[in-house]
Amino acid sequence: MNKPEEGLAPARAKIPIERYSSDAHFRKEIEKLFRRTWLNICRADRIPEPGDYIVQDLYALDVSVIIVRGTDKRIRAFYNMCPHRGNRVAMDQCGNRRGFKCLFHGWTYDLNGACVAMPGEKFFPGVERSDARLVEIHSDVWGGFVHINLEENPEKTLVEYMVPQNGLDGYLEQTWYPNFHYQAEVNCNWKLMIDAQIEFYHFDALHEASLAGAASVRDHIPEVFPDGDGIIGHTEGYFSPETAKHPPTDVQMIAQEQGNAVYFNPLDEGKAKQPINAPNAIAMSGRDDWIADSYSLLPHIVLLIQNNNFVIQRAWPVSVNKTIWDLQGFSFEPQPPSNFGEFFNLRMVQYGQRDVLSEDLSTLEVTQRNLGAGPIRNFHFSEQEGVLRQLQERIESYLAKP
Amino acid sequence: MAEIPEKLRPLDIFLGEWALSSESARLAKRQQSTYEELRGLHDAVLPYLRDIMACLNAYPLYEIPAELKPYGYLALMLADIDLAVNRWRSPTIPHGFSLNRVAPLHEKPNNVFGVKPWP
Ligand code: FES
Ligand SMILES: [Fe+2]
Repeated sequence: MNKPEEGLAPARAKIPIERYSSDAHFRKEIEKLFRRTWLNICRADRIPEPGDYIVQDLYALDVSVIIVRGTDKRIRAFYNMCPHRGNRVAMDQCGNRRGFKCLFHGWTYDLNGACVAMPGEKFFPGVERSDARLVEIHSDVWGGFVHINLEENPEKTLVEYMVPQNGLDGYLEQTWYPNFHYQAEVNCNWKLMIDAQIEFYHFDALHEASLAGAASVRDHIPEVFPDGDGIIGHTEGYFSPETAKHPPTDVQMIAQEQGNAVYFNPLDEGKAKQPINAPNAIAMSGRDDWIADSYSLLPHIVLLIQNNNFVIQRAWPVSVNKTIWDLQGFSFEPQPPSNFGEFFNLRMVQYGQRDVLSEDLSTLEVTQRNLGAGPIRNFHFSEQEGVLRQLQERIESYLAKP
Repeated sequence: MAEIPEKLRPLDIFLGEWALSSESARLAKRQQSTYEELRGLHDAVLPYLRDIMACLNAYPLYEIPAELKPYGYLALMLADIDLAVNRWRSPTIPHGFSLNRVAPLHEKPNNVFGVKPWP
């Protein structure tokens, strides 16, 4: 079932640019894809205690969601919308509550969404408390992440959707330490943002000054899952000591003495082998020179997995040419950092990601502004960009559904 | 009061300008500085970086005495400018997406992701 993306038929390698610029196509994606698939929202262990909640805006979907842990310890998701006249019932982004009180007229809800107070109830003849509940949204946990599905009756359960699991579930389920969280509004289509992160073909050119040569481009034939659903495919990166242009900096060398994040020293053979500290590590190939793995999950998730840490990028569509880039970084150990050296080691990972990912974002807005230019009507995706191709196929298959 | 180790004393001249306690402040300082200024700081502090670690590692992270914290901030300044100095040779990333547009949400005390800031 799983096969490397080799020998693409030329027709499959051409992608109409219109898919990135047409408003009608964008609306279709929102209605037929985003409103129907499972959406990754947050870590389940972010809300460990009854009453712990977070609020997530779904932007183009015009939905605000509350994720809350109930007194029965179960996680539930609700529309953050008061059934009285539509106000948000949770105004803060996170916290701990015994219930939610709408600040407009005071209707109050418990953690199960039941309406427990309705001031002036006698003036609402015919409105039953049962009509006045917060509306629940399907939710479930996979790989330690809370997912929601806005469909009234989701076509698949979350576990059925996350096929093939590929060992990813067990890897992500482990206890991960939340390390950093960045957000930016970028004037581009959400798929441009994802495309930029799920191939390593751009490594040598775009990251010329920062990472060039560190991973051998020859080797990056991605693995795609044509028969899967939520998991599109991935690309593994391998360290290439012969071509690496940039030895680790002095500060990186000192940082790696202090904690678990390590940097390669191409001059030192021994260091080129990264131990994979996290149990259930998913270096699928089992190669010693593995350095990174980039996963695309439908619809809008990119996981970038490195030794002892990973980042999740969520590309939240706002409009056809506006996307919220949400980046969260996790580390496996230490959790939490116990001394300054470990803290410093984690900050080096964080600032490195922040700076290098700003190179990744650099092409998006100018590309978007080129899309209407005219003469070029198709993008060309190579075999190394096979995950991009597979993502397109999967999206189109959702759009083709009745 | 914790005693300030003699071997960190040569760094004192940098503390006023460069020992900034938040990532936002450090990043702003980096972007307002010239490459030469950043390089100067990097080269002056680097020889002491292991000493800073050794002194601060004597305490649990959240119990580092206030008098020693500025040396930690100075070390973090080096972390912040490392790639700017040693890769791009520029305080900002040439043609990069401006870091002024990237919001560090983890800096808020009660952030949605649950990051525990230091100090
Ligand atoms: S809108 Fe919520 S109580 Fe009126
Ligand atoms: Fe990149």
